[in-house]
Amino acid sequence: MTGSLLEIERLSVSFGGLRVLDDIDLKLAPGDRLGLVGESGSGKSTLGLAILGLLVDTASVSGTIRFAGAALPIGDDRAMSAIRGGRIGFVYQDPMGGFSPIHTVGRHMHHAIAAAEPDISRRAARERAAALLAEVEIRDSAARLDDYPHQFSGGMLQRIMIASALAGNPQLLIADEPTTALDATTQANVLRLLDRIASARGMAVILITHDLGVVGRFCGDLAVLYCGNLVSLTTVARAMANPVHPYTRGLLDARPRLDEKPARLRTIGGVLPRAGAAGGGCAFEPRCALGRGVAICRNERPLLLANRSGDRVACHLAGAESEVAASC
Amino acid sequence: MMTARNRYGILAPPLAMFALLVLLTLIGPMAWPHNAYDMDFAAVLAPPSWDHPMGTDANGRDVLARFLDGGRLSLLVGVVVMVGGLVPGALLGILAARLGGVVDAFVMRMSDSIAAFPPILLAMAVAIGLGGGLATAVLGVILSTLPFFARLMRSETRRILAMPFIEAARAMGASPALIVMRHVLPHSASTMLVQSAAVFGYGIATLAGLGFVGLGAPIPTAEWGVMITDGMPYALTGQWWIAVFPGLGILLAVSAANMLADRLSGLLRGDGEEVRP
Amino acid sequence: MIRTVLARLGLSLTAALGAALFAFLTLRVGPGDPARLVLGAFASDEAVAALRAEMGLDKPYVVQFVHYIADFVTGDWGKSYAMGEPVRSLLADRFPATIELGLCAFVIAVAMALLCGMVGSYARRDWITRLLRTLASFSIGVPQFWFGLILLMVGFECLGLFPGPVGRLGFGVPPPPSVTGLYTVDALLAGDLATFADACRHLLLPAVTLGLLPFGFLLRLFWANLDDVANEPFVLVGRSRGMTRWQVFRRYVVPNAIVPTLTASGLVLGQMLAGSVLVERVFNWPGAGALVTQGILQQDYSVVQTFILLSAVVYIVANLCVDVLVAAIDPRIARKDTAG
Repeated sequence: MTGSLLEIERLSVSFGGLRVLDDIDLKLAPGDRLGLVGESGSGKSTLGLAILGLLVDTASVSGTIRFAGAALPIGDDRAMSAIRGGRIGFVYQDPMGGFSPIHTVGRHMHHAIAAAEPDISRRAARERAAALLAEVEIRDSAARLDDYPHQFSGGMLQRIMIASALAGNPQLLIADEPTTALDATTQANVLRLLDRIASARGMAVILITHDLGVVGRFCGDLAVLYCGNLVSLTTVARAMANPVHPYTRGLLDARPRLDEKPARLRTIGGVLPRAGAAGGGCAFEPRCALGRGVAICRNERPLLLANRSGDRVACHLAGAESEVAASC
Repeated sequence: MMTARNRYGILAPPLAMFALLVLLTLIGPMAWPHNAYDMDFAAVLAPPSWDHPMGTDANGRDVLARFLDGGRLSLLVGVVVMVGGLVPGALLGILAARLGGVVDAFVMRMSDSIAAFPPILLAMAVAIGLGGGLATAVLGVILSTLPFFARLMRSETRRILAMPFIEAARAMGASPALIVMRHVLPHSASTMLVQSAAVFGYGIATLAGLGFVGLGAPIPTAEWGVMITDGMPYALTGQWWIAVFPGLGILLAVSAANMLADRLSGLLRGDGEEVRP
Repeated sequence: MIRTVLARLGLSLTAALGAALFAFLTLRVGPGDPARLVLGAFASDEAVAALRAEMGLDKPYVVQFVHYIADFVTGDWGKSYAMGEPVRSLLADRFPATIELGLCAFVIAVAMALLCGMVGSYARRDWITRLLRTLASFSIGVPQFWFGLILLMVGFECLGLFPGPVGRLGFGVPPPPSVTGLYTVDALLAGDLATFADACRHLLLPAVTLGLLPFGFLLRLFWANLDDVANEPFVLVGRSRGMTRWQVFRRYVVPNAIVPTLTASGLVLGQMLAGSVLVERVFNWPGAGALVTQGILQQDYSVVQTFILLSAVVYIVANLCVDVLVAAIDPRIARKDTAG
């Protein structure tokens, strides 16, 4: 594929011998919106931080990440600092914790702007900051620069966090559970805002979430992580219509739905195994509705292979799945 | 993943230091031919030698024998201060947390008042008021540790009483006393242990400080603080050994206690909440 | 804001009252008879009784306590029977020396603790952290008075770099004209550089000794605070904006960690007053602390007891000031109250 914005090849991350990401391959074109989905502990946040080069010192990383044609200098913190903010932006899940409580919002904005553009004058930076806050629909933005984080609501802070991520005009925004900490209405507003801004700027977005509803509203592609493995990479439309991987199907079935009678929420049985704990077989096998006990699933690790429709799925039973699903 | 043995392995160095001190001070005086109080005027201010590895003092007493005796006294004082502060302090803390209201306010204000005194000065006030001597000094040191034990135990008790299983125990008819015995004490034990280890070292250091200004053990007693006072006039005229060795003893004992407290609290995740400075 | 301050003031007042009660109890209720203490074991019973009446000891405890507080607040701190002078003038004469020593020790302790804490938390080399951790443990484990003695042995006796334990100035050096009572400041005011240098040389070792414990205490606290703040999400977010590790450390981590560290400086003040009693004795520093040890040795306790209660009051007031200051600085407290 030519003109990829982001190409991740054979990316593995481990903490003290514990592998939390295993041979991840992923591509993203400019302006793409990818939903990165998985349960807590599946490694989705780790993947986001790995792209930013912000994993803790004890993490050992292998593989390459290419951004806009050049390999990211993962080991070189100084060189990565130039990429962060300016080329890749980041939105953190907890807006309250994402701001230093003793600094005004204006200081935070100033720091973000000055990091991307060191020579900017104080006054120009302040104007930029006010303009960015206005872009995320903070009313009276110039005056509110002098307020402290605790004087804003969670939804407003999350919008300000987005504004500060935009300070360097990044081509890619990594949003780690940007709406999890917010109530439903605010959630919808923040997503709509993010949608408008990303379209207007032609900015690619990786949206990390465990909420498939959010992905459905916002993303074009869906990548599913299970236990540090990429198990499915499809378009959102196809995934919603006909989920090929049994885990994706399980996640879809577990969504609370407004159009159904409120019966019991469906869940996927069992728990997420510890990262790196899987043996030779498919990590999902013990919980899988189709493959539990099937010899090949138990003994052989499935590869991420392209199927007829161009999606990539790591499942031995992916071909048989549609018939089985139809018969249920 | 680290194994349990590895995790607790970090406690080995401080515990080994304690074992060494205890062995030395308990068995040492029996094995060592010199006595802490025998004066030998033929060997006054003798430098360290095979016969007197730590030299002799101005009265010709063997510094090593005095060091060992003083060490035994210091360790004993450490234990007495620790237990003497822990038991009533914890009791006050539990009462304050359990009863709340006036009792709570009284205990907290009282401990504010006591904690306002720098600990060693509080111990001085008590020692002077009660007529001086080792026992009153120790009592003063114990008193100065009460607020810290009481506050910590109070917050621990409140934390534990707010836990869901306490509700369950109450619903099953457990009496308050039973809840304290069965749940509060076991769940707060580790935190109190950290605090106790720190207080052990604090007790030794403070008593030595009191001895140094003449409010601890009376003069001929072999006590580390008093020994440093004895050695002070000679420290700058070349007879360094009289004052140096007891100070090393204090440093060793207090550091071992602090190290134990630090590492224990590290093991218990989250650094110790209120470890004595 | 005002409500916070008033509530805090109330707590301070009760603590001070409690401290005074405690000091009073150790003084009057213990087995020792203050009048007998003053006059000695061989004084006649009539003389003791007369003195008891003079000191008001024959009145009920409650009355005595009220008098005790009234006397303390008005500065009537009694008389030193060994030195035949009012306690107040004795202490007033000696306090400048203690303040000079304490200030210098405080500055050294805070500056070094901030520096070492930042280096320890920021550095990623094992040997640096290990070295600083050892230093911190040493500072809180070593007996201060003994450490002072060691410094004298090395700095004065072995190397001859520093003066011996002779007080604030060398022999034959006249004190500078008194303005503040602090010799270093007064010498500078008088433009007398030689005296200033001499005062500094005499000040350094005792100040380092006195500052050691507060240094270790503040270092451990500041370091732990820095490590805590470094794990806050806003540090990660700041880094993701392209700030370097150092920029985030300087802009976010240090300011957030300093506030709770400074709150503890009131505690340090108590340590300093207590420490001055031990350290001044080692260096023959003519301050209030040395007066206290002298009082103990001569069994002349009025000075000692006044000093002890004063130290508690100073501690309470200092903590009150720090809390009010923090409330004024911290936007979360300052604004919340004005809004509500």
